[in-house]
Amino acid sequence: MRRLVRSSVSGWLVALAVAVTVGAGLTVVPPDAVQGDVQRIMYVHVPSAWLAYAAFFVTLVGGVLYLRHRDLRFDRLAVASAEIGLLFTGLTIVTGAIWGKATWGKWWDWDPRLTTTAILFVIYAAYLLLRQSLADRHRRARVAAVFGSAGFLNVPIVHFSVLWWRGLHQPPTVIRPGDPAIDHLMLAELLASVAAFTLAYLWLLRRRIELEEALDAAELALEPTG
Amino acid sequence: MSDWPSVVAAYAVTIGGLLLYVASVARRRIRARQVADALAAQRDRDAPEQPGAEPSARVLEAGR
Repeated sequence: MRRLVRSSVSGWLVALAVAVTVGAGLTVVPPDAVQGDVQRIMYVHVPSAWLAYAAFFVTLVGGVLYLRHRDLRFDRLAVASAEIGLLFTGLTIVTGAIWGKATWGKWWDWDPRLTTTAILFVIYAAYLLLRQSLADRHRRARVAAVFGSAGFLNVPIVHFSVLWWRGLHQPPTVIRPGDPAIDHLMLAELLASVAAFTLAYLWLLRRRIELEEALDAAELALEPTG
Repeated sequence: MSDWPSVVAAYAVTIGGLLLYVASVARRRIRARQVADALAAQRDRDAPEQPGAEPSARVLEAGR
């Protein structure tokens, strides 16, 4: 009961943090000098993209730790983070498409950043589908660890694609050589949004791991007793 | 044309997507727990009675 209350309180605090940063992104921060108000999409688009990278990094770490220790707790961490990473990748693609329609005049372009992000989405969707096709829990964890770790190789390609190839997508604004090319107030709002989305990610990760524990318990109950 | 419909759409997709995911995880967790409990109860019912055997934790719990 105490755990439920704690989880509920932390959930409301996370919701409040997200609501405050979202509200600030819509009202407090000034519009961009060139793009106008549509640039406000950055405060949900960029945190979603960064959290996708972070979530897939956690999947990589969970996979490597599973391969090293053969402990299913690390596999649960990896799959939980992969699913949340897939959610954030999907949000990045959709919010980017809305932003693209308003600024480029089209929802989609086979630009290097967009294409590599779509590939990232497919890789981790395949990771989740692959897991469903393997019945043995340890075999599933082993195969998924290798697949999830290899899939992470695409993350730096996504990030640096805007520097390596020419395309429609703008180059990095914050994580780039030299100083960030952004107004201080906008940068503060962006970092606050990233912090709030990170809290949301951590809260979701905890809930998703609990789901994985419940699924494991159900699977264990199905196994024939010796 | 105003930029606001695009901005509102992007924010709505993000917040809506996160809320739907929270609901999906909660629903799947409740269902997984129900299945685990039902299977464990079924196993307890199906297990042959062993003379002198310790009752399972679930049976003990049910007896409380």
